[in-house]
Amino acid sequence: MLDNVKISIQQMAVLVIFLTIGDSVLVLPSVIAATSKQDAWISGIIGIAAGMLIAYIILSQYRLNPRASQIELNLKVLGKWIGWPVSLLFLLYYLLMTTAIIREVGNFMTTQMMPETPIWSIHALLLLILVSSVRSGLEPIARTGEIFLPMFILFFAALIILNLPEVKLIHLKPYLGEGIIPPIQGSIYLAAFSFSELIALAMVLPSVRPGKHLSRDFLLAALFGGFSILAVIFGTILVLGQYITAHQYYPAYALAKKINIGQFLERVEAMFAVIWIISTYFKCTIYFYALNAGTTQLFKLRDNRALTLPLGIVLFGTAYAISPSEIYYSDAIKKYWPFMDLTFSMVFPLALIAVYSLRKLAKG
Amino acid sequence: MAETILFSLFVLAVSAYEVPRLLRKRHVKEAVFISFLLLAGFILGIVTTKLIKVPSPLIVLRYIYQPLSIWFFRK
Repeated sequence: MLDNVKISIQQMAVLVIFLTIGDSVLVLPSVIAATSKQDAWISGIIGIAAGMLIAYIILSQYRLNPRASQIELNLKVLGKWIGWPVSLLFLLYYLLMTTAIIREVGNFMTTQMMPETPIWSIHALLLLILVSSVRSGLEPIARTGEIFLPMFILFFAALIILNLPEVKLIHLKPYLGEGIIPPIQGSIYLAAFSFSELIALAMVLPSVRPGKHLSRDFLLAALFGGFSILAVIFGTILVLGQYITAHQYYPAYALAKKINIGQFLERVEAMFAVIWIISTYFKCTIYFYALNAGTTQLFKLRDNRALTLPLGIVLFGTAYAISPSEIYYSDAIKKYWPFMDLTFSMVFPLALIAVYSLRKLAKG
Repeated sequence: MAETILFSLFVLAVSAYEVPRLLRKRHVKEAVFISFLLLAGFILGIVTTKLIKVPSPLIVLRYIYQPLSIWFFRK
């Protein structure tokens, strides 16, 4: 346990909500609509069902030993020889994930809002904030989440409600126009990008004050996040239609641009960009925290604050390297990233649970 | 050119701040680890910002998951 920090269950639930919504609300509608076109909402429903199953698996892994983090659990259950490579893989996963999120924010800023800004300055700013957040520890992060949540929910609801005048139900037809296979293919994106990426919380959960309602609140918060994304999917498909949603990189941003109430409330997309940066920031912070804490636990270091700046510098380089071109990056995200997410949130936890149960059975 | 110098100065400043602090507390293993990490980060940063072709980490992902992806997304 690092720093002996204890956060409350409400704070954990807030983190779950921010992690589930994360950067999915920016990129998810376009990726799902590319696969399932106008049936993206069916993908959403299937994705939430599959995602709740994944969230339950992550919770079960936590319940094996509520005081051990992901890395400690790996080493304890799988032993030194298998646990070390697996933990290293997890660290690489956290590194890759943080890199991707930083790159997403950079891409969004430089394509939609500030095209003349060099991307490294946005990366540098975000990294400075991340480093200072993780250096402060988990409790300030959780408290910041609690502060931002009401404003976030308000703006999020406003995004959906202010677009209701422009809804055209015809955009949902033809229902299941290409059969049931494309929605099932599209559902993997919601399950992976929103729910699978809760696995980083396995590094945070040991610091949560144990209580009766931890499991219930965890699953409820995940469900809430899932439904929020479903609302955005509905919003983009109903207002923009499946063609524009699939071909825009940031369809929710296009949705915000469309808000026009009596020529008075218009051009408000910058405010929505702020709340998305906030939710993306929380996801990034948790993954960076997981990377930091995981490295400290795996290599048995005694000081985890000193590790943050060097890791930040490494992330600066990888954020450049991960995306040689937008086409390459977006293709890799669409085709291969969900499977990596599912490997780390389903395959490894299930394997851990299986080995743990077998060892308990063998012991008598 | 300016970015490279800025970046190098930043890495130097970080190492000048962190490493002596750790050595003063007699955490030698941590100091070595952090120096290694700083060196790796420095080299990576210089190489990538100078637009030398570094293969993206996503290439490993593609290599591992391509068969699964082709099967899952078939029409």
